[in-house]
Amino acid sequence: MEVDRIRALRGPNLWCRHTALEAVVTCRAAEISIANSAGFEDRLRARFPEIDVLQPTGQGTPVSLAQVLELATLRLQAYAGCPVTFSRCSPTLEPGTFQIVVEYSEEVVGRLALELAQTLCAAAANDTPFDLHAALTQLRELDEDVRLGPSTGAIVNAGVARGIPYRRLTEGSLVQFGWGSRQRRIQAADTDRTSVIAETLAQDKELTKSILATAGIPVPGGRPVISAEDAVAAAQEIGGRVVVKPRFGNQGKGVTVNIETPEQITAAYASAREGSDEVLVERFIPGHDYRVLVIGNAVVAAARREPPHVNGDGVHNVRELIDEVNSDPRRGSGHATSLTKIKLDEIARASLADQGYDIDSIPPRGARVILRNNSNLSTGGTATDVTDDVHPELAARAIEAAQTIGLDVCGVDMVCESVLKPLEEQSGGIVEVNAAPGLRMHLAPAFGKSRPVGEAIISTLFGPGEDGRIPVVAVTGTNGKTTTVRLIAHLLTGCGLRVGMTTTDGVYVADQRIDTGDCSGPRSARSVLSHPDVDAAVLETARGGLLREGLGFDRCRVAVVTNIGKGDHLGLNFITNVDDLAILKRVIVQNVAPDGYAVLNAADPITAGMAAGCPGAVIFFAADRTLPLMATHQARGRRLVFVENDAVVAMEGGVEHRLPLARIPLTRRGALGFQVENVMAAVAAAWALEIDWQLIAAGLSSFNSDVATAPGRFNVFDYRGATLIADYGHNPDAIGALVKAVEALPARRRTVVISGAGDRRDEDILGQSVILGDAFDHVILYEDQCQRGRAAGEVIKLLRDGLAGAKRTRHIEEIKGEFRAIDTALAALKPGDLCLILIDQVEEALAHLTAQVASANSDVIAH
Amino acid sequence: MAKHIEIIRITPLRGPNRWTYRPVLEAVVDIGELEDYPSNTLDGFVGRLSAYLPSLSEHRCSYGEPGGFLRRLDEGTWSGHILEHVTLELQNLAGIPGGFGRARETSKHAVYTVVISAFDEHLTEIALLSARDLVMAAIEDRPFEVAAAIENLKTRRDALGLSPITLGLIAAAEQRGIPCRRLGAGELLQLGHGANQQCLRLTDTERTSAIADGIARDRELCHELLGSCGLPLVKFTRAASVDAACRAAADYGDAVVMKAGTAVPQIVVDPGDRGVIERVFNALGDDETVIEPFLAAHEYRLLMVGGKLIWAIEEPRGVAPARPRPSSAATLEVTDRVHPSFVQVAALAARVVGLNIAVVACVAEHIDRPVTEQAAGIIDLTSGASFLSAVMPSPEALPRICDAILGHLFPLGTTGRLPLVGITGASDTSATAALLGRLLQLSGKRVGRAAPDGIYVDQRRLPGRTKTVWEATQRLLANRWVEIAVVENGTGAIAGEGLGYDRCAVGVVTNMDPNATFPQLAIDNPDQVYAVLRTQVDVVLPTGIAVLNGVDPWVMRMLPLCDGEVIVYAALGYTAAVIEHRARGGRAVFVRAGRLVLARGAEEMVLPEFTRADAASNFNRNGDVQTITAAAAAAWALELPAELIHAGLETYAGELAATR
Repeated sequence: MEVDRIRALRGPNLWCRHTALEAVVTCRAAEISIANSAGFEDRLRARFPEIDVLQPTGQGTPVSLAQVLELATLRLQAYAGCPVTFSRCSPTLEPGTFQIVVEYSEEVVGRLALELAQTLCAAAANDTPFDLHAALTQLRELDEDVRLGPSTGAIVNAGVARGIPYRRLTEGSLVQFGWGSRQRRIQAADTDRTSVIAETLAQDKELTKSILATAGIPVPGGRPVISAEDAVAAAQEIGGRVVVKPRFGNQGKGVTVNIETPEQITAAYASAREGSDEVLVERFIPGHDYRVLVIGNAVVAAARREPPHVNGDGVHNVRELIDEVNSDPRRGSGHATSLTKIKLDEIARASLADQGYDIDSIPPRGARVILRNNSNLSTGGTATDVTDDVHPELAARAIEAAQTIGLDVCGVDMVCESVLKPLEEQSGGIVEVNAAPGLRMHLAPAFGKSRPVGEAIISTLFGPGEDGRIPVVAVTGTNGKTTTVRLIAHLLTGCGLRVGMTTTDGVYVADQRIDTGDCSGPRSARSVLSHPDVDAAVLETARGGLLREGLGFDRCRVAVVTNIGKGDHLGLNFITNVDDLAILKRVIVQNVAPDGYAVLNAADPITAGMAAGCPGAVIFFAADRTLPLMATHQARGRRLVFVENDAVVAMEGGVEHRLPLARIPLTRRGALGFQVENVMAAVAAAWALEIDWQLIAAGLSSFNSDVATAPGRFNVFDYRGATLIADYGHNPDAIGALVKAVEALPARRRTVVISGAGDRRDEDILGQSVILGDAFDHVILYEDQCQRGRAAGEVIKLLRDGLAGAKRTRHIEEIKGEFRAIDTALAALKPGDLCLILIDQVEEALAHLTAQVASANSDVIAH
Repeated sequence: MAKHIEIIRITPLRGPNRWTYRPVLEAVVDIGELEDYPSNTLDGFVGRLSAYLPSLSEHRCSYGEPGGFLRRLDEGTWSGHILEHVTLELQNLAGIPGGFGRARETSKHAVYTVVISAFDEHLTEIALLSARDLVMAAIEDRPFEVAAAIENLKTRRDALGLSPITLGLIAAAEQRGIPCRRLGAGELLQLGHGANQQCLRLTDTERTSAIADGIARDRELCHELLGSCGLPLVKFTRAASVDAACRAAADYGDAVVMKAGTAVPQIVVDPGDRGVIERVFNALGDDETVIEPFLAAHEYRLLMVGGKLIWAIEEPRGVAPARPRPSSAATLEVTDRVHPSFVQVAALAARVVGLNIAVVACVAEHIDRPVTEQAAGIIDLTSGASFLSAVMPSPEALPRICDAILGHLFPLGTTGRLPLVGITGASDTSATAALLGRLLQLSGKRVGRAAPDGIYVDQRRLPGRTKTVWEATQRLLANRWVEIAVVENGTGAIAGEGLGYDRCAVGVVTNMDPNATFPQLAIDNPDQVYAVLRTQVDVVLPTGIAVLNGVDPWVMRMLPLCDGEVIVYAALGYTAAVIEHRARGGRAVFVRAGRLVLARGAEEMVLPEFTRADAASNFNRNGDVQTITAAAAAAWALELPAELIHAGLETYAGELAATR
């Protein structure tokens, strides 16, 4: 079995909405049915019992090794704790070759699972051992490592629940919510409004205390000290038990509480000094350790923290008791789990010693053995949720503390007997405030209710009803994509929005091109959706990206499918016929938002058939309103766009909007049929976006399709009295539309310059020249830059074959080189002629043409 | 009897005071016997003094021209005055800002009040004591280590921990009329007051996102985000070994730049020459080495504040291989030459990363030509602090940049001030402040009040004690919930502490006791008391209003001093001051037939009678009428609608009786 062409589909794709790995698996003859291998299935189950059923009961089709691989990859992930359920194995046209698709929650984990599944299959085949436990552990650890931590994960889940799109920007916890100009960012519990100053302030415990005291918030008295002796002196000034802590620090490092003797203070000073040059001594407040979580101007959660401890049972020693507590699956070794394992280190031993124990002591039944002097979760403490008990005055002080320091998300640490009373009534105090507080203790407290802290943080980023989305229009189809995209973008710009656009010419933001080349894939889509200056996005969504990576967004507001027609680029990537192509292109329709629209060409049956898969509503467009599909749609009161009486008409129920073709220069007063199609699609999309009809009309009349705005899309030039048309069309449908358009224009003699890209099926290349042969007098064939897998001269020969029975062509020439071919055609032109140039290198050829036209025109002026 | 100069008492006045607007140190000085020995009677004194401090020749003194003070010395002047000038000069030589000084006789023989600008009161105290020692040494012909004294001041000044940037921000704040205060001992500044405040530390503002700061520090992440928005970038590779460096250099093809930490970057013209690369790698030191393609000849750094270009510098790169840049190369300012396309690129880069203040480092051949027409790229983004250090040699840089930062934080000329009412006088200030506080709460805004017994926000007294009114005022203005501030600062507070704010929207003077004395401050005549109280009127903003008691002639003398408008209040409408003021078109508040009248020139707004018996009876008690009219006038000054004034007086009448 060979596995290759492994692709990570990082967005909705033709198989499913989830992220998934796709691979091509080639099985040897014997592997096409595992029933052929004696004992294989038994050996497989022995090594991975949880692989479960390989096919539903009673189904008799052979199970291939590829299918086993698929199921193993899925189930290994599932048993390692990944929330994945979808997988498929699909045969291809070639016997023994399959495409498998397996969902993943984290890409690297999915890839590792695929590798491990291959190892498993090989082990089952060769009867060699397979360490399942090690494999699952490896997967689990990798997943824990790369997936979002519990704090960030809670926030992301809350966002997803509100329909807010998100994207991880790093392997850490930096996440972007929303798109374009509405985006917001978080990094764990930091938001993009959390200021550097507030964070720096929060780290300086002394300055924090003095600022809080100035604001009238109860804080424990004390001061900074410069030596151990000074610390002892400060303690005497305070009188009573004290806390010694580093001035700068977090997570409780170096903090010792509740001490009194000079020896203890000296030791504590040394410990605090390790972490920070400056040390504080402050009054010890008796009571419990509370963490109050303030988000915005409200207390969202409060928890009582306990230091790590074990309870004696008179039988086990301290070490065993700790192991028992640590065996709780909620306790991990870092921050990834809701609790952390209790560490048996110097500090723990010191704490034991204080209580008269060591690790081998057996504490009596009921004895509470404390293992640390602070209750941070990161060193094994536990939390009890007390949110419902918080007194309003106490909450007010916590909120004031957070706002005084300036933190929008703040963990306020206070010590008091109970949160049921105001701080002032119990001589409690706020000991510090924390930026980017850990959320674990509120999400999964050891005791008590979980609190919706993720939701609270999302609410500070997005108000009620906001989801951070910008309008996204996805456009696909065989022909007319780029013009339609540009036209929609133009209409949106007319509304005052800054539009981000991806096309096969590049990425444009507010009319400035920021990337060149074919940018119709998910990467460019994601770039546009991350750009801070984009208010709306129109994304040409081509098959290549869809196959390689899936969509670059989760949902679009509008999906436009211009046509499928006879298809294009068929024969590649297992897309062999138009039905396959349709399945692929349908993906954007399947991922329309429920309150969005699909805009579909009713005259193209395959496109029209995609309507059934649309979660939102459908707008049909076609020149002819009497088509059965159009008539039915109208009868149901749905939206349609058609042509009638020299106008594009949009109709819903009884209401009509008319846009006269005479005022849409792109269509040349309706003469260019294919442009009318593009206009209908764009109008429907604009309608779906609720753009004002006056703005639509204005946009249509101001849209110029020239070299600058739509290079290679029916660019018309005047050359010494003859008409030149340059276009990039290169599939039978496009050529057909061009011919129809050309036939509508007057001409004495018609010439066409064509090459024909090599990466198409023979029949498609032939088909092009067949169409042309019936419409053009003079045909100039040239070999293009990119032979794309064909031998020299192969394509020209195919084209000549197509011209064999031409009805109109009298003269055929073969030229090497695009520019020479163009020049040859130009040289032969006389006034009144028409010449269609099917260009290949769009920018260069257009530049060359433009230069030739300019020099010809200046000659005219000079004379 | 030996000659001596004894400093009896030092009082820091930490805000506007009877001498001037700025904080000063006020010293009561007893010159004893020297009262009989003016400078021209002390043999050789003037010569020795000039030798110690030659720059005294610059002092203008009362002659208004350089050399003025020396003339006075020759003609004969007394030690208090001399002490003033010497202290000022020591501060000047130590680079401590501030040049205000006064010396005045008091009513006691040989006792003077000497007043010195106090940028930092501890520094000025040390300067004063040093000055005293210097003067005595000059009198007694003893040696004095002038240089050491100045060094001492400089060291202590540096120990204040104020960087030039912070000093620049403080100066810019003053220019813009934005109140500014240091928080703690570092560089943290509070700009503005109360709910309108913003904190600032060097170039970190409250709007500088911590996440953005982190993104900027991660060059890889930065490049990813910037690249996806189509911004031109300078590629880079981190090289941990000579081999890695050679590989990276080979990848980049043409000349490369090698950088490490803060070492001067080195240009390697032939990336195939392993020997050179190895030499440079080792010379660059232990920090991680970064290799970049040498994209263009010039490096630029653009300081962007709020999307605008404020300052740009060019740092020429050495061209020959491994030749370091001359370290003294003044960074060339090129702000006006930067092409708009570069500004756009830099602004977008800052937006993408999320920084409101950012330094964009980039390379280009010509900064004055479009970015798309040449080889150019962004290296990285950093915070502004290091940039500011780099441009400091240029004298206009720091002021312009600090001004731009403040303009970004306080746009359109806002100052972060609150409506602040200062109330002073010999009596009635507490009752007026309390009543005013009540009235203003009806506006729906949160009112903070600083009183001798504590600080109140709305009606809640904040815990904690303050020793001085000045301290209480600072705490009040630092509180983020306060939207309107009322400060009760009596005569004693202004005299002994200075005002707790630099300017106010409304200044109320209730009355003056001409017989009041403050012996420890050498205040014992009415003119001095007047000088203290008028401070409240001096600090009223040009857009503000002074509220003055029309019945008190001393208070009325202050009327022309106010930069803004004046409202005169009195119990009776036919008080002379009220009539005169209304004749000028001014505003007045008084009572007629038991009803409060708010008058503007000839127009009158007469409030309805009070329905509550105790409210009405308040008008019958003289003391209460004063309080009510003063508080009503101040509330009116802050534009509280008349109906609310009336409702407030009606409702809180009971409390007024309780305070009596």
